[in-house]
Amino acid sequence: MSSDPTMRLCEQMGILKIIENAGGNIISNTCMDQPCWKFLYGKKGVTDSPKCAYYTKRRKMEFVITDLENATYSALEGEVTSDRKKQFI
Amino acid sequence: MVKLSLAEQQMLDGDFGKGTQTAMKIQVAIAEAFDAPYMVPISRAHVALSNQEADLWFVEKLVSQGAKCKIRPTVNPSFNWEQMSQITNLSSEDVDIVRRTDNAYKKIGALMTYDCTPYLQLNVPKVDDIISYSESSATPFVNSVYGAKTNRESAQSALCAAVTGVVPYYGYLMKENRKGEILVNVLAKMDYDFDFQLLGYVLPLKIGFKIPVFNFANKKEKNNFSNASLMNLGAQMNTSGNVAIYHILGYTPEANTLENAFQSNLVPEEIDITQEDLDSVRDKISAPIGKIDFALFGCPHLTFEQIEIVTKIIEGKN
Repeated sequence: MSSDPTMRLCEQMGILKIIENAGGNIISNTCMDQPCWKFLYGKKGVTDSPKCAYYTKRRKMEFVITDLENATYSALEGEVTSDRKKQFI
Repeated sequence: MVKLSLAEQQMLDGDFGKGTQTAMKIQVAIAEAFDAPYMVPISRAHVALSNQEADLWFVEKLVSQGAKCKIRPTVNPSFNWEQMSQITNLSSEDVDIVRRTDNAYKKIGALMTYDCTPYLQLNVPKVDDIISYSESSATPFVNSVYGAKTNRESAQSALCAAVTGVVPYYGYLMKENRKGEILVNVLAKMDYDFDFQLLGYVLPLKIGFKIPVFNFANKKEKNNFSNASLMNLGAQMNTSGNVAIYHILGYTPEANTLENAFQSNLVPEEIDITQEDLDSVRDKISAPIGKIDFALFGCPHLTFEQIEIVTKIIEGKN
């Protein structure tokens, strides 16, 4: 999730395409504390934000909290590990 | 009793319409609750629109009474139904509330930025500006990093301020209420932005809701903080606690020196925060590592630099 100007900048710079090709997306104008995430209720995810995990507890979303770098590796692999070698680029 | 200017009294009396009168009534009640002596004009506002029932009820009520923003506020995100409908099935009730919220905020005169980090792009205050900001990451950022002055507003009180153009003079608008209350010696190295997320989350659990003055004793570059690190520090402190302002010794505008930060030669209280403190809070609040179904980043909204980090990893991986 990001702001619309940032998402458009990413689109102009080809970054959005890289994320989309990896199976991801940049969602603009959207907050995680909204009913549009119902399809993730009851599932387990990864985030870099304690705030995200805190606010979504009431929506029955569970999060592993780790740094953005490790969270990205985890998203690509489908699993969060504690492998320190991967944590920071 | 709050003293009102002629124009403020006219707003309260309904001379500028029912909507403005409702907004001013609420602000006078806030002023009286906090013993504010008078109102002061604002130059900016940000409304943490939540797209939930109470939020919608309030803005639609003001709109039905003819309210219009004197200071056009930026707003928080709801959800992008056009984009999300490409990913999942949305209920008509949920889409309806987004549309009604959008319609009501447009009618009242808000700028529909739908971003929880307005302070980085479209609503950037200067030092000493008196403003009215809601949103848990925004309030600490504008107070602490820019030295602008806002109280910890709700979406509703910020919207009222946007309509009337004034706020009650109390709390963090007054210099004496912005002084540091505790010196926080951060012994962790703070090499990574993520460390600031954990620091922000753990600190209020240890010190309560005091105004911290950070001394990053072991940080390599003491005058180089990424926007993401400061954004996340404030967001987490204002989530696990109620901390709407912080100072960084030698970096933020009100903390050039220890004396400036505390507005005194005396440091009332001191605490050390170690790497172990940061690690322990993560262990406490995180689900166990293992298989995951999804990844969700951007609370607060990711900066361009953060998105670049993600992209570089993808490119390296592929």
